[in-house]
Amino acid sequence: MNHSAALAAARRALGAVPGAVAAQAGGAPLDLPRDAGDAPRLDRAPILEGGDDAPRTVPPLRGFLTRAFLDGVQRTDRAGYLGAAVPIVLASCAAVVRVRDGDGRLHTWPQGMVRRDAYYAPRALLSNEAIAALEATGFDVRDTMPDAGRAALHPLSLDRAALDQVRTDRAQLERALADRWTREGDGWLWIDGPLPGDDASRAEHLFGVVKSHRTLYADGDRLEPLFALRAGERSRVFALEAATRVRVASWYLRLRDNVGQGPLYGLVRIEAAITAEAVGTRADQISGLVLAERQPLARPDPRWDVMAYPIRDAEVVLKALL
Amino acid sequence: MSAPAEAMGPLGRVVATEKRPSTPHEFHFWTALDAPVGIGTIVRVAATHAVSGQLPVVYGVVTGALAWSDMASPLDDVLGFDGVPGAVAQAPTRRAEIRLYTAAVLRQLPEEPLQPVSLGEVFEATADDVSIALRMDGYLREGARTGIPIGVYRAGGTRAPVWLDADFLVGPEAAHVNLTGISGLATKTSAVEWLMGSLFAHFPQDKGGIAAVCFNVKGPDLLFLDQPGELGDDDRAMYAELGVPAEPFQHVTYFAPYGPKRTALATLRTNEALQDNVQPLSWGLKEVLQFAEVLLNRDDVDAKADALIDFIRERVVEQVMEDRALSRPHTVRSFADLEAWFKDLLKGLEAANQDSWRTHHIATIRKIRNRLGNIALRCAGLVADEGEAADLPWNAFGDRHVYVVDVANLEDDAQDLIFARVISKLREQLERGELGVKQVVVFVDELNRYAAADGPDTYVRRMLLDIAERGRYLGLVLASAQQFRSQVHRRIVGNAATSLYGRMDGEELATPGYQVLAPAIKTRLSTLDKGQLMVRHPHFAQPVFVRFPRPAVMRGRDGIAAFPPVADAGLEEALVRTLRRLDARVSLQWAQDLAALHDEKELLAIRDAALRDRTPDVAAFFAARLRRAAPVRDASAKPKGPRPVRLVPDDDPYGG
Repeated sequence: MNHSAALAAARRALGAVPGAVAAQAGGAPLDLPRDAGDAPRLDRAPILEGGDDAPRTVPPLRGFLTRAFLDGVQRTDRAGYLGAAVPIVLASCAAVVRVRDGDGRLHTWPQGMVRRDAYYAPRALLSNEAIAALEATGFDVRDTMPDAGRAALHPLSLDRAALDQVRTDRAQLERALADRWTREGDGWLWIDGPLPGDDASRAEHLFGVVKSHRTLYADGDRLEPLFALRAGERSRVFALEAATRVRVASWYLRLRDNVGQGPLYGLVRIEAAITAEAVGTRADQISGLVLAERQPLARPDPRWDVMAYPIRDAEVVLKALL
Repeated sequence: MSAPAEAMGPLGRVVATEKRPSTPHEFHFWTALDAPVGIGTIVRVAATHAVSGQLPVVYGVVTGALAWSDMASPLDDVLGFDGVPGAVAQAPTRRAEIRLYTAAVLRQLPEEPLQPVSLGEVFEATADDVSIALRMDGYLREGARTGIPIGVYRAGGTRAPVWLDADFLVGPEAAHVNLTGISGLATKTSAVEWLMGSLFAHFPQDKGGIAAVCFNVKGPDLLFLDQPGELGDDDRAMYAELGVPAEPFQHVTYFAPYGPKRTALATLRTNEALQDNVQPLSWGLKEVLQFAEVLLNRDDVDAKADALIDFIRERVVEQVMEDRALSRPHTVRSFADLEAWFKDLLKGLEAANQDSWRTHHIATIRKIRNRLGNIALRCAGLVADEGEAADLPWNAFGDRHVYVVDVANLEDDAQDLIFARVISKLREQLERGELGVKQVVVFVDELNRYAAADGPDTYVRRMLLDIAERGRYLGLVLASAQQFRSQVHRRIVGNAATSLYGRMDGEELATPGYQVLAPAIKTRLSTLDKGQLMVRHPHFAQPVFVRFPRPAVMRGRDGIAAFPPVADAGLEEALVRTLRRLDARVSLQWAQDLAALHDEKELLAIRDAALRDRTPDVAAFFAARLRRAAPVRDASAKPKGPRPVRLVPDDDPYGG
């Protein structure tokens, strides 16, 4: 069942629940970028690679290309409301690994497709009858009760809590696939976004490519060399550290010249595990893999300056599925 | 034969969207990039939802193909590779592509209710599927087979014979076949030769005998139908598969009029090794006068003239004619007799100072004398000034026999006369059941010339129209061919139940008559190879592409190389060449002796009679018919006595 059919079924089910109202089609979109409300910020990260901050030209790629590409998507809609203000969100999350064959064509990795459909609502505010009616449609009801409890029952907070949970579930799907690739896959795996989870952050043949830069890991005198990167050049490797995740190496890479396009045009940040290999050498190798994917263009996606065609392909596959 | 389609798995899936919906007559499906599907491929759709308890099966033929990638604009690709086409090879990933095909429905089972094609898996059609899809199962049943193989359908792993229904090819349900194709590929001639062979091999015996009359209108095209042609292994395999003997026609007779001098036939089949079945076509006054209107200018010949021609036909020819205006009784059997009759009549009228005779004005008589007298000149070679007719074997046509009438080297008038008379006689004899066979296929090429849509309303065009519209009731079947179907009279091509198309000219395909064809079908038509045809037949809901083998007969130009024509070397050699096959004792010396003594016209008339009667003793035959003549003198003997002195004019500067 695709998402639209599931949504229709959910709305029908809600029509039979006392006190519930099925949501009308349309309305304000739920899905916004995770950091849509966050302010841009600069962050200083510890440097892992020797030398100065001057741009490093990535040497030509030698050896294998990236073998597989992982991406995930989500689709959320308000299925209805309980009472006047408790939103019941139906979300579909999916992730896929697309493998490239020797002929350059992409196929779904046989073990590489996962999907989860569920309702997202504060269970404490739902009656048993409502939960039973929703679960009768075949999907779980995931709890999104804010940590602040009833004190935070602002409708937008409930929406935000549901979306956060959906994103967590989606990340979980991506992490599951990345872990599976680590165990069963063969070759380099490109992950769209940061490395998901501890295993992926330690895996030698995985790397994440981050396209958005609300947080820039550079400040002061490191900003100018970063913005001065030209196509095919990378920054010094730095470390990303947080209490909640494994320490990884990261660096910036300019995919396309940004003359007249702004400082962030064609700029990606790469994350990879810190291994026994010299960080500079490893950064050059992975940067070469990323630069090799500049063609074909990912147009008509508006983020084509930083997006690889296989990632767009994975998104198309997932959107068709949902 | 192919493996069951299910064993190979589906090659596509039906898709239907709001913009591209399925209909009862059309559907769309996608395939893998390497699927063996192309324009003309026949497919089967297995529906997933039962209707009235039965899962519908739909058969379709591919009529359109689209492919596209996920690129929004061609500029994306240019930008992606910085305008360097060679850089494309370095791209690690190939763009996603789709192959989307459009198919026209050939048949749905069950046939009622007729519904839009539902979503389902699409399979390559097997040989059995092809038979069902083209409704051939209806006329290939044991005990009621009326199938005539036209070729082999080939696509992917499927190879299936395609059959026409004799009831719709020869009659009585429908009839006639028309071929279109550009010149130079020999497709039209080859297809006709192949189809005739196939028809002769498979036409049901219980429907009576069938023969063919072919008009050879250009070069040596049809002059070697009895000689074996070159065949490849693939051709032989197709002959075997379709159950047609890979051999030339067993029974062929060629007819050609004489050349203007009447010493040799006006045909390229003059090699002595091939003369056994070559016969002259020569008509006398009686035969020609029946079709005088073919040769007379309608603007020139009015009702009065028509009346006089009728009178001559009814009351003068082959009757003893006595009249006060005539100096003697006349029995008119030849053009020479007719001229003598006219001369005598006009002389009598002038002497009596009469300006009319039996209601015919003297000016009309003079005009008709002039026009009829001209016929012998305009159709010299065909029309015997004297003597009897040498003709097709009326009343005795043979089953599976081909009669080739070579008109390629004749003037238009003579061609018209031959068409008109042969077709009229065929119609007349078939109507009376006297021809010897029940069906005759008449092959006429160059229909653009003989039945042009915007051409003059000629006698020949009217005859062709008559066959097209009424021939099937008589067993008279028109197999016609032309380069430009759009320029042929619509009622002729419109009455052809079966149409075959070889490679077509783009300009021709742009004419309104081809608007029913999908653009991709037109593209395929304009690129067909030799040996490929598109077939339209009443049982086929859509046109079908087939391959047919090379005909098992010698091509015209190969025949000319193998059997070079001999030159017309004059009376003596002509007598020897034509008469020696009747009597081996005929010698050149004998012919030279006769030529020295007798009038050429007289000798040729006796030769014609000898050929007609197939006399075994030629010398005796000639001796019995020749008038008394002076004894042969030795031409080399010197005259006795002094030579006369040659007179030279006084002012002749070269004399002396």
